[in-house]
Amino acid sequence: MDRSLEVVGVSYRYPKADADVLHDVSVRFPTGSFTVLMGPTGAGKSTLLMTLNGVVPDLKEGTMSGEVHLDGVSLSGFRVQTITEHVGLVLQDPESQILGRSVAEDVAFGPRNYLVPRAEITRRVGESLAQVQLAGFEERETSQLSGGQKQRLAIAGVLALHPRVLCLDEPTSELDPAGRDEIYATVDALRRSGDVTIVAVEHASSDVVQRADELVVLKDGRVSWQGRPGDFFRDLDLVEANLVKPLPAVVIGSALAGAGLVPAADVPLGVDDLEALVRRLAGSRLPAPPDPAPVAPTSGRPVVELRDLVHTYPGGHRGLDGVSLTIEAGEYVALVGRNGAGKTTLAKHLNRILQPTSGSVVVDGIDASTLQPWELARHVGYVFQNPDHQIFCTTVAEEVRYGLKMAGLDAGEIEARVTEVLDFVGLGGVRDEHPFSLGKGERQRIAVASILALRPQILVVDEPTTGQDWAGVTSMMALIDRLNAAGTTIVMVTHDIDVVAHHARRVVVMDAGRVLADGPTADVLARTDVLARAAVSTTQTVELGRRLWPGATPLLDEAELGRHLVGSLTRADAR
Amino acid sequence: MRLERLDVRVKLAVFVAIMVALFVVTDPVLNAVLLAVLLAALVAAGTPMRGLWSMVQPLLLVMVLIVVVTMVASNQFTRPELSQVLFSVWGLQATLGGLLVGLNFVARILLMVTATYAFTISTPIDDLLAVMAQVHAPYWLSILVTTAISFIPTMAKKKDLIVEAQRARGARVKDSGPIGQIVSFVPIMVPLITNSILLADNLAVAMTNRGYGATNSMTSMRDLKLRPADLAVLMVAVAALVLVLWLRFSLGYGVI
Repeated sequence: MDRSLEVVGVSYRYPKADADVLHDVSVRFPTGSFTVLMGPTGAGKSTLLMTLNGVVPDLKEGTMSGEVHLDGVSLSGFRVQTITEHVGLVLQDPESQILGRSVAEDVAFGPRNYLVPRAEITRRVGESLAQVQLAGFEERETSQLSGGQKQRLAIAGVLALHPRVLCLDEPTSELDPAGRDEIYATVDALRRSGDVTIVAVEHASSDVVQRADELVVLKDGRVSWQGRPGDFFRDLDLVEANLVKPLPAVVIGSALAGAGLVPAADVPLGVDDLEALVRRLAGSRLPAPPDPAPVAPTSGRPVVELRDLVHTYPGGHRGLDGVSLTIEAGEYVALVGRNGAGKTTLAKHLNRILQPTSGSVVVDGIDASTLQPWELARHVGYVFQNPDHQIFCTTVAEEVRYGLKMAGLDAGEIEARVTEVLDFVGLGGVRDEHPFSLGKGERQRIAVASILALRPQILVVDEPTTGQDWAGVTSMMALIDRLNAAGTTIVMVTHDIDVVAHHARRVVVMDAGRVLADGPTADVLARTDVLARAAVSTTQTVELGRRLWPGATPLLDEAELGRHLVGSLTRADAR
Repeated sequence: MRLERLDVRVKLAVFVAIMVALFVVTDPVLNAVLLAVLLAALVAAGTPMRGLWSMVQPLLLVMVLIVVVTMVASNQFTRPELSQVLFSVWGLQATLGGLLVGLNFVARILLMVTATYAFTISTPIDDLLAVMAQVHAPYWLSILVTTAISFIPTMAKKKDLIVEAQRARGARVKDSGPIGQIVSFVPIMVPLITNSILLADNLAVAMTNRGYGATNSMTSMRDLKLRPADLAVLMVAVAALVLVLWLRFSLGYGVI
């Protein structure tokens, strides 16, 4: 018998849509394999996952052709509830999948629907929680769990049904590096435990490239590439054409391959292999360390001064435990650290969404405690993580107008600023559209535009790249870079260390409400021991530089490091 | 015995008995006696009583108003001596019967509040769900209740995020009196409702993913068992109710 889950020639169109979201997609997932689906937003990844257990088309309606086969049996004609016993699907947002008040109650929800006897349910609850490293959490209230714990609980809820195929939709997109490690530890454990087939949608290239057996890249609803992940990531043109984030190690390795130093098929995917390759090529003489990039001078004019800032939440938790920090005009600062380290708590003090328990916040020379939040809003703009919590008007232009009206500007000035700011963020063409008719990346830019209209000198951006595909990440970061170049001081909270390396000029590492390290980006990212204490990892590029030249200031840009290596290694060859 | 340990069905029965008793009795004295007995029983059971005051306090003004209005507005009493006029203001006559009617309303309100308070603080939602399952309430009803309750913290968190986002754009949320609060309420509701609809849509898929609707039932995870102490409490409550009904309907006591 053919033991696999197979998608055969599936096309699908959502109700009321103008075009198919999937076109003639055929993919085979062999039993026990781990397949990753990648591709830009809107490529049809989530839709494809939903066809696997029949949610598409049964619940979403619309028109579907083609079939999904489990072990050679067509799933069409079966109810979703029948299929879910065999093919489990964990959705993207864990919040909307929690169906119980206590952890045990939530996990029991699935088996109870199939009238599994009570003793067996209790056994399965314990077993599934152990599989996701939540053993002992049975009586905890679900609302008290962290993001990573909720995500793992959602997986446990599906595992309790003993499915043979587990489908995960972006299981780590909202998590910090520690949370991602937890999820992938769970995936690894499941793979070791037997013949569960795993299919996951994932944006983070480095987590999956070494783990997955198979990679399927979707673009515009079609399978644009399928095969072993390494073969895809080694081909940078292919990666770029599919709008997937390239691996820094491959960028460096490809530079070496381009100079004929290594066959293209042997380009390493990870830092260990890359280091070994460079050492082999260099022989006894390791190339000299690169000259450190010049550190840009700062303005010397402080715009934010925090002194001994302490914030205690109701209930006694110390969000900030004595933070002193000065940020100068025109700086580009990244705040990094694990969830709960105090990054967002710190950022929220800059515009008095939170007020210090003790200590002081001085913005532009004025003690913030003497200003009301709406007065501070003109100095400090704050772009929140989820744009959907910030959008409440019926058109894009109206959304931008809101803050300006609150500031009491006259009508002519308001219209001039709306036009200016929408053109700046590239939304001039959709000014009369309804915000919710646009994609997530565009909604994020609406949120930025509505803040920029107030012309703050300081812009705080909380997780600007979360949940966005590579194209979304690049365009959002280009927007923030342009603002900084125009003189706006940027304070960015993020988990994406590659974004930090390429954009921020200063990094503040936070842990347990304190500043653990603070300095120029290259210096801080090279201190991997300090980063590890804050559960932050460094980039592949910095890691390689640090290993090759301990003590030297590492390069942040992989293309630059690639050029440096090629330059010094070919010169060594010529000699 | 602690109230939490009492069987939820017994608690429901006692609750219903109190409601029946307080409505058949129209004499404030008898209702006050019932209230005193209930309070004494709760204190004896070690029920924390501090929360009760915070429920009663906002009602005080209402209770005073009720007494004032009924004192002058009531007429037609069963006994002639109740029509006795206590005093008159601006041509309105306050009668003894009117005063007693007003006081009886107050006693009923206090009884209801106390009984509800005792029931809610001592009954976890799981117990109620178990009762619903036992009386063969449709299983979707208990799922509805559970999911609704488990989404309260989620929605509260979303509301906070929305308010913060608006303050960051210069919204003045708290400062302009009751009308200003309603005006600033509107922009909060729009994203909150949009978010709820998206959430509900996801929830429907999530529930189906977990096999909801695979069978027309669910495995019951709890059993309810009556213990001797439960039966004793139930018998006392029934006896008290019978006594009240006897006083009211056989002896005609407790009527105004």
